Amino acid sequence: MRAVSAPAGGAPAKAVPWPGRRTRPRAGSARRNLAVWALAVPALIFFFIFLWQPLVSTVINSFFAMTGFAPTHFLGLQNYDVTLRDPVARQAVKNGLFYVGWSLLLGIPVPLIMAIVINELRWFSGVFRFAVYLPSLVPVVITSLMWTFVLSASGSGLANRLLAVVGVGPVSWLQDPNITILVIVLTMVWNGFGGTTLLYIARLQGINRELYDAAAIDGAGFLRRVWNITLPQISGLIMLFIVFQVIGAFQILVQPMVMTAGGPNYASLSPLLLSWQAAFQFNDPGESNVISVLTFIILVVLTAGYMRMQRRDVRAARRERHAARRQRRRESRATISQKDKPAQAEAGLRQPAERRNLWPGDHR
Amino acid sequence: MARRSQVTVLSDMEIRSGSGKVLQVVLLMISVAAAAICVLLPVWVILSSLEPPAEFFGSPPLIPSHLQWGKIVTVWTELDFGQLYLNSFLVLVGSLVAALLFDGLFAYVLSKLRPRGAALMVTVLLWSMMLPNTLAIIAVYRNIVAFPFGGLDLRGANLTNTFVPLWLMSCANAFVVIVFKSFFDGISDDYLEAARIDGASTLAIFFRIILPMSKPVYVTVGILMTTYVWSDFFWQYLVLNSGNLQTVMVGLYGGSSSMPKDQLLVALAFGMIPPVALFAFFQRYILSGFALTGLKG
Repeated sequence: MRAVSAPAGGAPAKAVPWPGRRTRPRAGSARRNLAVWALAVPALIFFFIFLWQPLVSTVINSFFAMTGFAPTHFLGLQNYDVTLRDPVARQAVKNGLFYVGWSLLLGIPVPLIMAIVINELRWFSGVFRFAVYLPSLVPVVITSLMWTFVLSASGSGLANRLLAVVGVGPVSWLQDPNITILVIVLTMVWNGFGGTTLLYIARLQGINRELYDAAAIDGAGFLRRVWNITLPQISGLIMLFIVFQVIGAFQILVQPMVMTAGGPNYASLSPLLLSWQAAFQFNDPGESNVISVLTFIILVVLTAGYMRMQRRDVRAARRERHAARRQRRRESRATISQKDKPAQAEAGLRQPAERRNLWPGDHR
Repeated sequence: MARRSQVTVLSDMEIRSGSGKVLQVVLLMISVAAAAICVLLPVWVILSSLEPPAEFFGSPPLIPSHLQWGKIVTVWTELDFGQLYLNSFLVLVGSLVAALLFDGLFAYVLSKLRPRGAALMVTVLLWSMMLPNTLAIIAVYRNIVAFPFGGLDLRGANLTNTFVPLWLMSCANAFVVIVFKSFFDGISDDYLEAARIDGASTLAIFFRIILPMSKPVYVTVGILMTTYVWSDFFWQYLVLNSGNLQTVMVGLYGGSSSMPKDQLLVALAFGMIPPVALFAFFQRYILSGFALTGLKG
């Protein structure tokens, strides 16, 4: 089969510093295009059956009356009207915002601080890297069940037994409607912060050492350097994790399902948990669809913002690279001393290389 | 270790000064506290699960006086862990085959063959990464109950209580495709040109050129996929509701309400050991996977 023709003009593969950018389709006949897409057909079918078609059909069905899981007749916005009046649904939406809030307050600073701390250690740094990553190996269900046991309100709970030694407690933890979301988010942070910490550490190693040396000469102390150099240098990565944290928090489902089943009295009911319960327990598929669609809309808006941010970063990196290249060309023309060259090349090229690591699917 | 290559906020010289030493001690204490919460908790939970019930429910938490190893056997037979492990393993194998084969081909099309519409498809996949199918629980479930499409009156196959939908769902994972694609992007087109000139077909190029060059990414994705499928719970719970098809996570969830608490903890240990063992064996690949994918799955 010779369906794949060489690119027209036959000037392949000049060393491209950033290979991901070469996604422009090659010239080719319609038949060649179809033959190529045929290789992707199995994956495309599964994406269609298990993701794309269901998402679209959920949006459409949210405007229909449902019998069982099948739409029967068009209702317009009635499902939405009923759902938004339902106090349980309102509670779930409100809870969703609390999940997001606590996820940001706890999930962003904890891995950031731990990364800076562990990165700064001169001894045992490797041991601690392994230690903080260990919880990430524990499956979500097991994390949830383990913490449910540790935090159980009765006397057997480890947390309350420890508090009893100090003479405090007992605390109701998951059974206290005021703190149940906070407690669930805490267990999620425990489960997930290790991986984020390792990614931060990798990025911290990419900071230019000379910045710290310059700050040392200016007499800046540890915290000042962290605040004025470290944080600005990794702000892009922090923004990325903020976006992921928010998107992840809106998708919370299994943790409250296992730990509290949404209780006490719906206090920890997350939107997607309600979507599942409405469908499989309350026999109210209409409400399930509406809650799904509302969450879907929020995630689409967030993702759109994220994509825009990403494109802007890519463009900025490209501009920077071009500027560096022009600069280099000008300098080599003027035959300025060879010494500065590597430094400038580095300044220009480091940024895009790191972006590529961050976002593998980087494209135009 | 103070390797020269390490970039740290304070220089090695400053660390040796008095205030630098104090700071090191403070940071070390923070790290020790964090590590204790991370490591000691699961260890203590597992150890205390083996203590005799009287001690287990006794008031102050102590190091157990002796361990009751017999509980391990009790729990294993009670939840039929042999069956649970086997089922999880079957789900895993099918998922790996489906995802590594079909998603690899998909990424090959997007990265190297680049037909018309490839760029648009990459955008669709980037969006798909952010929108999980738990946003469409009812619609996905319908497609499983009347495979392939519940909406059409096809009288489709009911795939509940089979592993098939779980295998296929693992394949519908945009993250995997994107990781493969970004790795393939780094393989020079020159190799493909050369193979083409030698008369290799499009598929042969994938299996004979791309695959052998992509071993690291296949191992990394395979490991990520393994931990992901092992921990997956929601769809396994919805799809596999018959007793002898349940996976480890579904079995643990079911057991959590009926078992005595001390036995449940032993069961949790059973579920925790495989991923930790996997990590111990493949630590190098997993940690380098961070650099390769940039993101965790």
